[in-house]
Amino acid sequence: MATRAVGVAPAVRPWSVAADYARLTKPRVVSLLLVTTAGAMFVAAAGLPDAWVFFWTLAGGYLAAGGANAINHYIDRDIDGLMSRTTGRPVVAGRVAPARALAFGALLGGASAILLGTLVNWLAAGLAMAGLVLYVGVYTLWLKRSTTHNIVIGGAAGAVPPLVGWAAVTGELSLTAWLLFAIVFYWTPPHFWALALVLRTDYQAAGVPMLPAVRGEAATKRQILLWTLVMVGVSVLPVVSGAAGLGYLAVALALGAPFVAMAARLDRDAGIAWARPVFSYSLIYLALLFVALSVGV
Amino acid sequence: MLAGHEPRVVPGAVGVSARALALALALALIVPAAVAIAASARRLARAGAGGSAAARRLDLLYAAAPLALLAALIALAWTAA
Repeated sequence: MATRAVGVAPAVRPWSVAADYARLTKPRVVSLLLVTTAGAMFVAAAGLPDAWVFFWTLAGGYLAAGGANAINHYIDRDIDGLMSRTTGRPVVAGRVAPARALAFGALLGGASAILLGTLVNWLAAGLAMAGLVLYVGVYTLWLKRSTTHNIVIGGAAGAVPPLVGWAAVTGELSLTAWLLFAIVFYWTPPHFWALALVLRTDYQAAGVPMLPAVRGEAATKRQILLWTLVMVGVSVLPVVSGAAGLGYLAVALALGAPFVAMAARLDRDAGIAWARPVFSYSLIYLALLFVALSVGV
Repeated sequence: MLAGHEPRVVPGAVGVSARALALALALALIVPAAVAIAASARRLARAGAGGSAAARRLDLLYAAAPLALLAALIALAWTAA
């Protein structure tokens, strides 16, 4: 005879709790950020950076970005529950208490500052904390719910990791470091708006003024094309400054051309069928561009 | 915090002509797009979107900031080497 336990909460497996806390850090998002950190370190070192500095910088970078993301889960739990993409997130789904997510994020942020400050340098630590504050304070709390320019200005938070990498290697920030920052900064709008096009109704339901939710598909598609052109132009500035050569110029243009072509196709065609390809390619584009800078083609 | 100019020079690849070529390419890509972005932001502000006058001014500022940063970066990049 089959028996069934009634009124007994299912046992929570430790690994699933750990997995939920890991999810709070948004590992896939952070991994791309770390590609830009690593790329900047290779460029700054003009070769291989010190292995320990490299390791601790990436570890500290993960903690800072992961902490910011966990705090974001806490702050956005009200709107995450209104969007189909985010209803399964640990806080919204009730698997992690909001206060614990906040404490976890703060703990990771603090650990990042201490780790980077003591094992790398305090400039890198300060920059990582600036990135956290930009993401939580400027993007999540201030801009995200108040303006269609949220992702443009707030994108600065995601552009900080190359500065952290550069500072970790050199102990200072140079023009080249800021050019790497700029590449990520100007890459963010077309990258994010391509995804936001797909999630337009989600953002409308949550009342978040993402560009497609406020200005519609056509205007967003045109903005994606325009910002893609700007981004490709910015990607060649390291050659203008003398920090990279003609080989990199060729690679930057070769990588940028499909991006522009896809954005133009998205702009020209009816519907948003090309939004996903633009988003997916933008990820590959940024990673490969930083690899090209790293190897000094 | 622009600490000096220490471009990592790729051997034999960054003569003035190469840098000028890259600058021309960058400007050809950036300037028309930036002008269109600015015009779009202005149109939106004139149309009255974005709530109060103060909110519209703030939105214009948000639109202008990345474009101003672009101009500064291009100038710095060209004068770097």
